[in-house]
Amino acid sequence: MRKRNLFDMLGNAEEEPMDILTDKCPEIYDAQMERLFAASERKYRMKKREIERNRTERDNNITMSGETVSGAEHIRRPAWLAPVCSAASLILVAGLLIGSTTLLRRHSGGGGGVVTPAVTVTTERATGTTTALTGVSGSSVTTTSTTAVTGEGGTSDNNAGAGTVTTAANGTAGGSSSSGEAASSSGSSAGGGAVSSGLSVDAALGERAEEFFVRSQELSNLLTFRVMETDDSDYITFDVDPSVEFYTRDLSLDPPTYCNTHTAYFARVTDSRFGSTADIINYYNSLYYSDGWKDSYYGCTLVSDGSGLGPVLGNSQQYSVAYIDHNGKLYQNTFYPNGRHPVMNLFEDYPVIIKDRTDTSFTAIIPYYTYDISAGMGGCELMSFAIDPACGDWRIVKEEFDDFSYYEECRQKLGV
Amino acid sequence: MTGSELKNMLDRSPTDCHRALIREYGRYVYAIVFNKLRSCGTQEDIEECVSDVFADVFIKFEYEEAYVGDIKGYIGTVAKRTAIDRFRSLSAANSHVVYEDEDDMQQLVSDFSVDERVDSSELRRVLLNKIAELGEPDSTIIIQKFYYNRTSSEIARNVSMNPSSVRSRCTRAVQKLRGKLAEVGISK
Repeated sequence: MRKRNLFDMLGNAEEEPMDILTDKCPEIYDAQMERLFAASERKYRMKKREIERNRTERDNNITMSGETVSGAEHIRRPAWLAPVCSAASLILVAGLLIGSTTLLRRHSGGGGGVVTPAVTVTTERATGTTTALTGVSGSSVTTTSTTAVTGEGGTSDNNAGAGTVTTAANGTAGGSSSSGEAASSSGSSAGGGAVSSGLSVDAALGERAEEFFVRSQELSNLLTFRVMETDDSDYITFDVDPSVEFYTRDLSLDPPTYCNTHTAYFARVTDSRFGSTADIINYYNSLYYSDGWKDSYYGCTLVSDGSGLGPVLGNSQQYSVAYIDHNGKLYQNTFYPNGRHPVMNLFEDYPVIIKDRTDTSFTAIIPYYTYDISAGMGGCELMSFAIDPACGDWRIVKEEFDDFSYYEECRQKLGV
Repeated sequence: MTGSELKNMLDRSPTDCHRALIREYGRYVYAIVFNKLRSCGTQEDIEECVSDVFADVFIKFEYEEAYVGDIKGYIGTVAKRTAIDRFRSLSAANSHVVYEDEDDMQQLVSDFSVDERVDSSELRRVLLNKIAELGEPDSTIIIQKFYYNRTSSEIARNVSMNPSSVRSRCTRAVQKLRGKLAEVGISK
């Protein structure tokens, strides 16, 4: 490292010391002078060339002397500007012409334009799948789940606003053998409205949907509809609070008949597989949890866990449960609806129709029958699937029900 | 030289004008540039900067400058600014240090911190005064030797002496200067 020199102090000197230092500066000899001159000239010429290159015509044409400025500034536009402007103008004019023509044509065609639907029919259809039992409050048990179905009917010559007709059907249980599937629809369409295109039959997807349908129905029947065979002559009863009246099958009558009573009836289960409520729970769990079916069916996140073997009526009273054990025997509640109510069976003679299929979703139209298809005791379930991002597999995202006629309509359209 | 004279010369012959400018103000510009760059630049850096100053002056007077008075101050300002710019770029690019390894230089090497003892400006004034008290040619020899880092041969040409005489005078002048500096409290 260089040691400090006292004369370093003279560096960066002010004016007065600088004069002394300049006075004592060594002479510039000819060789050094020529070197400096040559280098200066070279740099001067380079700078001059640069300046000349960057000078505009304004610099050459305008002269400034003292307070007088004379000359004219010539501005040269870029060469590409003219063709670009011309092209832009042409596009603008062409756009105006085309747009004007289009507008004129639209309004000269009998006042038409886009033909808009005159009426949009929205049908709310009772499905009976999500039966909300409001408690042992009397005879009235109301089925409230609905399916919004939208169809379009007719067209209009003018642009009058589309009307909306909404029909709601609330099935009331009590006496009717129907589960509330009766639908009132003013339009001719069913299910997803008019039978849309995009229908197909896919064996793999159809099997998947059938599997879900069958097992879910089995589970549902086991708990909700209590479909096990019983010996109606072997039954037990519970006296219910006199203020509570509910609809059940009175086994004391001959033949047993549904009626509003203040007594709960439990018939003995004759199915040899089940001797106690524990057997039912085990069976239920074997169906629900085996082979990862619960996860496969409801997915990781889309639907919560299924219900367990709990009270049918939503309270903890003994008469409200689905099954009870008594003296080493298993008894099944006859509270409506139970095994005498029509349950849904897969109609295996007909294929599952796939609708609205995309890479990540589809809807399976699954035909089913209850007692007698010829008597119109059937329908179809519209089971919508989607790929669950959490699991990367098909999951059920929506279940709807419709008349069997809707399935038939789709089937005929497909020709299968 | 005035701006008007310079313009006239430029109109007649730019090359001659440039040469005359360098001849007249070369030492002046060199001194200013050297003063700024001696701590960080080589001789080539200094000469490069001097040529930048003159090229700049040529251009300015050819295209923009309408200065008509004495141009020495103008050239000095251009030189100072150009040298400061070069100083910054050199300082940023490297930490070049001028190193002289001559015996004479060692005589004046000191490790004491001047900044800690006196104000640098005051010290500069005192130092130059004491050098001036040495009289000619000793003051010139001392300045050219230790400030401009010239060899004895180069100094000999400037002061019209032979190199050995320069060396002996330099040695004596250094001793005298040390004595004078010691009198004012500046010593090792």
